[in-house]
Amino acid sequence: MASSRPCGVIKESYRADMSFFEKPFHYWAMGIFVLVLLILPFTAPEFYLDAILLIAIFSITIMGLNLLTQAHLFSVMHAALMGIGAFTTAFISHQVPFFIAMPVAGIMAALVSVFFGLPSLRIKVFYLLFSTTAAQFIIEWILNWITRDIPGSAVYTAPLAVFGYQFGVLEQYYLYLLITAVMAYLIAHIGRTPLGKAMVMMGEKDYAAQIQGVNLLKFKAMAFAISGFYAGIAGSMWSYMLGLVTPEHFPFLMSWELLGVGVIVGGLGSYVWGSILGSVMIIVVTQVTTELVAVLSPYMPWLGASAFGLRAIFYGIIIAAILILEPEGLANLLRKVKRYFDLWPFSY
Amino acid sequence: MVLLEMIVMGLAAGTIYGVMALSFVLIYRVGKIVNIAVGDMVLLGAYLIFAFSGLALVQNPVINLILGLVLASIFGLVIAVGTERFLMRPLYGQSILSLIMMTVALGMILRGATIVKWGTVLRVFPGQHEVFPPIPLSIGPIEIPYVYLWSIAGAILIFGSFLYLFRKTLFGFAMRAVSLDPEAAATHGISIKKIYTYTWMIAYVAAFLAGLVLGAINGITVIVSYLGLARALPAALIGGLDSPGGAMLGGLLLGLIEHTVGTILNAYIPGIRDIIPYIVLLIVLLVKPYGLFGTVRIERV
Repeated sequence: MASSRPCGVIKESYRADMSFFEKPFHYWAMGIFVLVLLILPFTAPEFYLDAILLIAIFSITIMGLNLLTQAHLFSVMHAALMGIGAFTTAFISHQVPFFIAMPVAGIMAALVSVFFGLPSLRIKVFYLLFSTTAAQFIIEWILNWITRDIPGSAVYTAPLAVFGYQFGVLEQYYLYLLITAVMAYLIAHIGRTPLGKAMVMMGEKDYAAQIQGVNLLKFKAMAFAISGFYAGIAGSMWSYMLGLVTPEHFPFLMSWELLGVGVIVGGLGSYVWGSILGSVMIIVVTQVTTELVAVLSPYMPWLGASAFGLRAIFYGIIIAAILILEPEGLANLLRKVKRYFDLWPFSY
Repeated sequence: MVLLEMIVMGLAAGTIYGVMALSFVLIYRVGKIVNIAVGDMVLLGAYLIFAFSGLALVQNPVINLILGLVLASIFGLVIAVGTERFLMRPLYGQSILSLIMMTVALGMILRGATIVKWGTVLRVFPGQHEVFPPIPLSIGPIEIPYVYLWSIAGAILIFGSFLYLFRKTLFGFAMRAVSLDPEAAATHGISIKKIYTYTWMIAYVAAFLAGLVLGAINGITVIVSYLGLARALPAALIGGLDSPGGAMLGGLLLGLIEHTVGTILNAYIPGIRDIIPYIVLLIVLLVKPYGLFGTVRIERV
C-alpha cells in the first residue's frame, strides 16, 4: 500500500513492513477508537446505537463493493444483493440460529452475484453498469414475485437468539461490532494476497493482467463472490435489526448511494477506513436531513414530506464536491492527517 | 388484428424511447460521458412543463401545453449551461468513473430538487383530458391513444431538426469534429466548451420532450425517472452508443419488443412487462455489446 514512504516512517524488519500499524501512535488511536465504541452503549442513548449499527452494516457492504470497484468491475446491484441476503435470512431464521443463517445468506448472495457478474468477462467498464442496473431491477422484481402472496410483501425475521437465549440491544450491538471487525480484518488481508493484487491489475487493464498470468475468469468470479458474500452478510444483519423486510428496503437508488457516496466519497481502494467513512457519510446525511426537516417544517410547511428529496440533493452535492476537490475520497484526507502527525510537531 | 395493434402501439411508443436514447447518445458521442442522469432530466422536464403550463398563459389547452414545453426548454438551456460549467467542466480528462459518478450526482440533485419542490403526489398536466382524450383514436381497425400522436410528431420534429443540424450545417460539422478528436478540433479554432454546452442543451430539450409524453402516459411522479432510464439505456445500446440514427432505430425496436413480446408474456407471468427492457438490455449486452451501428472499440495493451 505505502508505495512512497515519507520520512519519519522507519521500517526495520519484514514484520514491521507488513504490520497494519505503522507507528505506536496508530496503536493508541485504534485502541481509543475501539474503547469508545465499547463504552458507548452505557452512556449514549439508543438512537446513537442504532445509527452505529447501521453504519457497521453499510460499511460491510461497501467493503465488498470497494474491492469490486478497485478491479474496475462497477456494480449497481448491491442493494439487491443485500436484499437477497435479507430475504434468505427472513425465510430461514425461524428454523436455524443466526450463526447458520448469516453465512447461508452470504453464500446465496454470492451465488447470485457471480451469476450476474460472469458477463463481466465480455462486458467492460461502464457497460457493466448497464448490466448490473438490469440485474438490480430483475432481482427486485423476483423478490416481489416470490412475496406476491404476502400482504405488503413483508416477511418477518425471527429475533436474534441462540438456543433459546434472546439477544438484547447490548448483546446485538457487541455481536455486530465483532462481525464488522472480523469482516474488516479479512478485507484488509485480501488486499495483500495475490487476489488483492490481481484486483489492482485488472483495474488498470484486464488484458494486461491476463498477459501477466491473471486468470480473468477465476479472479473476476472470486471478486464478485467475495463482494456478494459481504453484501449478503450485511443484508442478513439488517434483516435481524429491522425484524421485517420488504423489497422496498433495497431500492435502485440505494445501489447508487452505496457506489457513489460509499465508495467514491469514502475513498476508492481504501478497503477498511474508506468504507467506514463512506458508510458514516450515508447514515449521517440521512439522520441530519431527517432532523433538519423535523426542525424546519413548522416554519416551512412546503418542506413537509420531502426529507427524501433533500437527502438526494445533499448526496449529489457531496459527490460532486468530492469529485472536484478531493477525487481520492475522504480516506485520503484521513491519510493526510496521519502523515501530518507522523512528524509532529516538526513536520515539513 | 390484435397483433397489428400491438405492433403499431409498439412503434408509436418506440419513437419517444428513441428521443430519450438520442439525448443519451448525443452526450456520449460528443463528450464521451455516460449520462446516467437521463431519466432525471426527463423527470425534471415533465415537472417544468407541468409548472409552466400551469400558468395558463393562453386559453387553448393544446397551445398552452406547447407553450409550456417551449418555456420549459428555454429554462432547460439555462440548466444545461450550469450543468456543463459547474459539474462537468472541472472533470474533463479524468477517469471514466469520475465522469459517470458526476452524472449520478447531477441526477440526484435534479431528482431531489423536483421532490423538494413538487412532493411525491401524482400530478397530471393541466387540461390533460382535453389534450389527450381518454378515448383512443380509431384509424380503421386500429385504436391508438392520442398521446402517441404527440410522441410521433415530437420525435419527427426533434429528429429531423437534429439530423439536419448534425449532418448539414457548419455547427454539426464542428460537433462531429469535437466528437472525433477534441484536441485537433480545438487547434482548428472550434471552441470545445461551447460545443459541449450546446450538446447538453440539445440533450436537455430532447429529454424534456420525452418528459411531456411519459408524464402524459404515466402521470408525473418520481417513477418517470426510472421509466426514462429503463427505456433510454436499452434503446441507446441496441442502436450503438455513439450513433444518433441508431438511437431512433433502437427505440423503435425496444418499443416493438415491449409491446409484442412483453404483452404476450404478461398474460402468463403477471408483471413481467416491467422488466422486459432490462432483459432486452442484458441480451443485447451479451450478444452484441457495441450495438447495431456502434463503433467497435479495439483495446490495446
